[in-house]
Amino acid sequence: MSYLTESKLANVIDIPVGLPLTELKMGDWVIVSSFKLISPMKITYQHVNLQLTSCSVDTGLIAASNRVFGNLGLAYLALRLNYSAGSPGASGALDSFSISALGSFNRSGPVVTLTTPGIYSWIVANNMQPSSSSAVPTSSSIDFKLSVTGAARLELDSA
Amino acid sequence: MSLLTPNRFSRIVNIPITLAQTELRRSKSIRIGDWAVKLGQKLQVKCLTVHLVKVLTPGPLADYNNTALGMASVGVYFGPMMCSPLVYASAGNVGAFTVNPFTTYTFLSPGIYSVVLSNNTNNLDLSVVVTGSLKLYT
Repeated sequence: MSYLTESKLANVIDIPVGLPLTELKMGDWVIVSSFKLISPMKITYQHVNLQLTSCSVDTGLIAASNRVFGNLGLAYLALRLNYSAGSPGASGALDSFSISALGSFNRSGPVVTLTTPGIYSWIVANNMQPSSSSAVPTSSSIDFKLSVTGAARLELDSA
Repeated sequence: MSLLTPNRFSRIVNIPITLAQTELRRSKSIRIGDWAVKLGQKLQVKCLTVHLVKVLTPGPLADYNNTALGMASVGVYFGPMMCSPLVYASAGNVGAFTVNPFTTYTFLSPGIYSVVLSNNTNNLDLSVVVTGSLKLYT
């Protein structure tokens, strides 16, 4: 077992992954946090909290057909490498954390370790779309108010 | 090499600097965070990233207020004056840009340090993300 030294700790930085309470329109997404990783850095990501405070419609009326991606709940937080454009829920995300109800939900594992150089972005998305087979009228926008709180640990020298 | 004691460890704090994707209008700036350093404290900057996600104004070439600072820049400023940043990262085009994390920028002078994001063009609106962390030793 090695002990922690002050010089080692100076090379360990907690990067915030945070978004204050924000209204996210149906089908929209926003980049919460970005970081450019270069060799020999290492990022470990484990903890994040996603809080869905309110919805513009009764969540009990939302049908499966309202989901853009069936497996990503009402809203989700995706981690992507070298993201430039396009839906963040499409294949290729390194990690995703979704929530399917109002409330506060915590991601506490598994640990994601990143060492490949590139630009890492955490993106929170509203996974809703209009659907004619849903009890929610297609003229209604399913908007959420949500917040994100979390951190990733950056080690400047991964050795 | 000094080992860390729990007492010492409890006095080292990471201060988050975060601005989620935001529309930054031409020539405008946003103050993201402030921290007052007191005598005996030490503030270190190793991690400050500006991510220019996209240029929202189609067409024109950038008309810079300050060419050296690119289209958008985020920097640590001392005091109330918006003069030169003590350390900064600038985005000259779309992408993520960071301060050199292997160089330590250390500030000991008591006063208020501010992290400010600026759009340095006269004619372009930008979509920008800022992520960083300041390390405070008390």
